[in-house]
Amino acid sequence: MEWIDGNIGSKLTMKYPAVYLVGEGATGEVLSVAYAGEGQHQDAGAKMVHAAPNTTSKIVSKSISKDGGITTYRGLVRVDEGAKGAKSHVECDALILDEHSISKTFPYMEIGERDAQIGHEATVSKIADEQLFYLMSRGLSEEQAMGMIVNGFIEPITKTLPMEYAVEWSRLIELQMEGSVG
Amino acid sequence: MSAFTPDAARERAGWTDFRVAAAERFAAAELPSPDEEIWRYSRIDQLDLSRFVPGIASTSIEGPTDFVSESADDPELFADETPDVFAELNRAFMTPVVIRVPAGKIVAEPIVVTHTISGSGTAVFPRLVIDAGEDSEVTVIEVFVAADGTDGDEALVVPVLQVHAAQAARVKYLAVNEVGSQTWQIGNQQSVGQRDSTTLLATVTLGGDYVRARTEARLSGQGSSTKQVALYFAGDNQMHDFRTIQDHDAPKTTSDLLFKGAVQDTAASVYTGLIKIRKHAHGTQADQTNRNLTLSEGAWAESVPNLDIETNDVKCSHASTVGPIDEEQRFYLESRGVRPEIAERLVVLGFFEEVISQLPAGALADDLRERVSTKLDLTGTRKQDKLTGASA
Repeated sequence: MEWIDGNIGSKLTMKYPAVYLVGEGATGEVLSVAYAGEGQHQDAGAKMVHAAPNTTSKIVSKSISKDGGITTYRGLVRVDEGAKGAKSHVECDALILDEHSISKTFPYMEIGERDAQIGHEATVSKIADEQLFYLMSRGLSEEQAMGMIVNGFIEPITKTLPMEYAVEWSRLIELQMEGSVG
Repeated sequence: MSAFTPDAARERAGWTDFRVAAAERFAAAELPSPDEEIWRYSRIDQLDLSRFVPGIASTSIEGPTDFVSESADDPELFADETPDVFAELNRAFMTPVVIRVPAGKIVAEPIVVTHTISGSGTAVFPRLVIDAGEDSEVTVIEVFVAADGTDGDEALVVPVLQVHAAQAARVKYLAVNEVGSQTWQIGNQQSVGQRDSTTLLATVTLGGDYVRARTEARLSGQGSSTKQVALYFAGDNQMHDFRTIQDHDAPKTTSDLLFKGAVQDTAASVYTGLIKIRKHAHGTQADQTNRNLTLSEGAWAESVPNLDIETNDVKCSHASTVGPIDEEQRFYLESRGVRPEIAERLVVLGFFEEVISQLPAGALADDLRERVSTKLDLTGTRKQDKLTGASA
């Protein structure tokens, strides 16, 4: 079961796809991208409930906030007692493009099985000046450079998409970035 | 009706109005419930205050005591924010220890404050204030321990710690919790760091039935830094519950956090932490790491590392893991001829060593290693019993 989730539009999004892994060996994956521009709040994430042995799950969330937008990752990984050998990995990275924008992360982990391996990691940062400088030194405008960096940031998710959608996504991001000056 | 009334507060020595006002506020407030996010997963609904009466822990102070006073003249010193009703209760019934380090003074030896708790149904309210002047340096170790032979006593400990680090002050603090196996502890710790100050708040929790600590480290001055480290190891039916806040309220501030815990038998642990970076805290770096080892079937560990970031010029990360002992590490040791139970022990001790080596514990560090090891032995024995039981 794989769920790819993209949230770009709407003023307020609250969406948490839930996957219940009830059969032995089941796998769940949620890949999610969120972009919050002016006045937007993208509150997204995923729920993974491991209710059977040897179930595995993965959550990758990438969020971008700009022009005062707010992105939130809110998720739950729960391993019930008896779900031996369950493995889960959660990764959520946030990019904040200007000083007015906000990013929040609320990952919940409830582990009731000794023999389960659960990991979570997250990073939040701005666009590295070095990256921007490098691209601009190659003749890209600041706007183009930022678009390229943002596209690179969400690449792990867009590359799982069928080609047509991937292209659309990256155009959409470029469109959203238009007129931005960092 | 609990015994923690304004009238009872009036009987305590000193600052009567101050105590009575706090007790009145406490009486008017409701006890928290696990429905509140900050109390989620906790056992707070099992607390029955009517089983306790206000008491006093026996407190001893060792080390350089020149700066220590047990009767501060100014109640305003305790007029900090009260994050919950238990801090308010502490205010009404507290027994204070105040450590004031003058500007520029370096206190080389650690000051050790030991609270010995005894008597079933006793509730004690130690309050420790560390007020470090500009460019001063001090290390304080606070120990909570059950009196000999009173391990089974049902007591309630509600400590409050206030740390104030003035400009460029360096404060190191370590709390060691070895209260009795039936004792509840609900603590609050707060530190505020001014410009270029450094604070270290460390905790080792081994004892208690339910032990909770809420730690809030605020960085109010530019360039200040703070670090929180903790080691917790819960067995039997124990629950260790930590809530941490790293509050960046000034530019160019740094915080780091490392909480490592293990649960065995049917014990449970909770870690929830928040990194808060306010809008004006540019150039901030904040890290948060929580690692949990689950050593037995039936043990629970919760981990909720949160981030709330309001500006973009930051470097922020958190990581959290829950899992059993790494099979490969165990395999490696066994392949070298180490017996399985010893291999497991070595891996757990190694896991905790990362924290122990960072504690401002001095000579106490070996002692703490010993305690962790003893606690592991207990499970080791239990497992052994199970094995012999199975083969018999």
